Amino acid sequence: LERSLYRECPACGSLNDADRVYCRRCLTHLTNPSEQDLTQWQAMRDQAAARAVEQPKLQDATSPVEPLPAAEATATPTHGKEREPDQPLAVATSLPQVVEEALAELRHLLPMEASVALPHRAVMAPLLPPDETARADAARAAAALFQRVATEPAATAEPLAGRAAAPRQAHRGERRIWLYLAVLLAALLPVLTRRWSAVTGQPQGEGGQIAAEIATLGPQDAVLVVFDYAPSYAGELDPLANALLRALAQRAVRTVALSTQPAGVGLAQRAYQALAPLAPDYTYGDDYVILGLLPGQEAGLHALTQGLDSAFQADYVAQRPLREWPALYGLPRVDVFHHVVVLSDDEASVRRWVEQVQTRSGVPLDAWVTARIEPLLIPYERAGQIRTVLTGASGAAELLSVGQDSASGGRVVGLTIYWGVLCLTAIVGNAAAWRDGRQRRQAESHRTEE
Amino acid sequence: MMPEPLTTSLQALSSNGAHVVGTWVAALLTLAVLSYILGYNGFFRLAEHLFVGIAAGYAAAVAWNSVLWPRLLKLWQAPAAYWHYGLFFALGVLLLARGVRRLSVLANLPLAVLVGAGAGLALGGALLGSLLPQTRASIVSVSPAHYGGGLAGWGYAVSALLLVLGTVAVLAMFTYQRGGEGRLARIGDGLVRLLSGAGRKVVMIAFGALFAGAAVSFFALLQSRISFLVNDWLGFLSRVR
Repeated sequence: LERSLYRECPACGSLNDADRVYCRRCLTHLTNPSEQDLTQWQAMRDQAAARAVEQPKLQDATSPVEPLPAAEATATPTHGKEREPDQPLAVATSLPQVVEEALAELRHLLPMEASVALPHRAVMAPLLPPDETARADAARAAAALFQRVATEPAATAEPLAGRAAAPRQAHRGERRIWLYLAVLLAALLPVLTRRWSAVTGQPQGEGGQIAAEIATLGPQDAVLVVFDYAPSYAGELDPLANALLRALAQRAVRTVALSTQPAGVGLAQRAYQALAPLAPDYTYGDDYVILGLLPGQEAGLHALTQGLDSAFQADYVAQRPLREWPALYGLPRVDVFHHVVVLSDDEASVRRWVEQVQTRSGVPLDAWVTARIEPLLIPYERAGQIRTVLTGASGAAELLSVGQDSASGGRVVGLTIYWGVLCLTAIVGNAAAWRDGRQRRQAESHRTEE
Repeated sequence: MMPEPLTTSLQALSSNGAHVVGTWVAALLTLAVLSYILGYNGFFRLAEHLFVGIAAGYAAAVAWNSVLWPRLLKLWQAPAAYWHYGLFFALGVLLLARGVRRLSVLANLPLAVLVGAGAGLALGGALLGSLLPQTRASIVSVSPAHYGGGLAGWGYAVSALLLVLGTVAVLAMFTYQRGGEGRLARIGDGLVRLLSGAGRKVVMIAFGALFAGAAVSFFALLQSRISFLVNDWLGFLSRVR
């Protein structure tokens, strides 16, 4: 060991790895041993070996069997060695030569533990019988056992369920494709049957009441329109915004637009651009103004309640002071607006408007939002803090239905079909899950009986 | 500054041409996003990156044009009248020190102003705008006579009762303490457990409503995109007509 694997420190005598340059204990430089050192170490080793021979061999107190001779136990590998049938299982208890020498100096200090002195694994006799026929039979039996272990499920419910679920994967994929097709059909139907659905899909609801209220407004009134939604939800909220601006422009009601999101400013510009061909007399500055981005969230809204001048220095489009625009005459604060319409895809944004603007100024607030956040705003509507909550797809249709818009009915028909698909999916999905669960329970009970 | 050839090209592009190009770009990006149904692919990734990058760039441009530049202009033209803008700009510049390790302590002052003002306004607004009005709104009469009697009165009364019971049940759901030892405490614990179970159901119903709302919302978006592809891009409907 000393010569092949370790290098002994010349100062403290501790063993170091062969590739170490300095001693791990005393940091002495591990030089190559001189001839004198080698002679001295050889003498020391011989003395240690002689002392070890004089001392009695360590016997394993727990093992009742006879130990093998030390030379046989250490020199001859016993793995694969055939054992006579009547030969008892033997464990080598004597120390191998190398271990004996290395631990010789410690013999008088510590009792030798069996776990150190013995080989780590007991020497087992081979299992195979000596003759070839029996060996082949045993090999076949072992192979059959291995195949059984590898292929058969364990006696638990989980592999059984997994095996039963495997054929269902294909059905699940087919079901998903049918679901995709049904949703696609529901989305396509109003496009393909536009005229028919315009006749059949005339909705009635809150949107109609709002439209009726807008019909009572005039040029002396002003409405603050807040574009607080991202372009991701433009597909749902743009129809609402377009319907609102169209209805207000028809009555020549002044509108002021702003946003607390940067993208909302662009959406406001786009909505007014879409309105231009429908209401050419509705002009920027005289009838409407885009104030732009209102930064600062709560602080910005708080500034808005103090006055429009506090929050905005100029309009967004022409960068001119607010007092120069006729559309803003007589509109110094938020509370003088007829009402505020918040178009939003974010519940937190609407809540900020309620908490910072409606509560402080008392101006009526309408939340026209995505269907995603509608349930979160119902409590505010019930408490009277929000006057109306209108959702994108159906809300626009309801609002536009007053103006006999042909596209609105189509969207409602598509939405109705989609609701049907959703309900059908829910019923079929639950029924399938119930059936699968029942089959699984039956299979488990059969297996338990077996 | 934009290069002159590019400016000239853009000016030469008629409004109709810009509309056509915009429609094609929007349609291709829509198809790229819808290709996610086939798995996460390069087209979807391209559209995703474009969306995020353009949104960030547009937000920066709007913030500069609509917020920073007008105020800087005022400060430059009339520093005596708008000196307070200089103070805010200084605070804003100090916020940039957050990026330099040795100077990052300087950013604590504007951060303190931001957090302090924001928290104060948000707390006051939440108290006056949400907590008190919502508490008041949950105290309702459950008597049919209060709603005019008759079938409609009973309907409103049942609705109010459900509102009250639902509110109490959901509040009980978040009660994790036991009442203690004794018969009365055991009865109280049983009642809380009962209400807690009912509250869990109410919360599940609320989550179901939110999920249904999200499904409708996303369907409306899909409907809008398909309508765009069919009507605006393909012009399919006009040919059918």
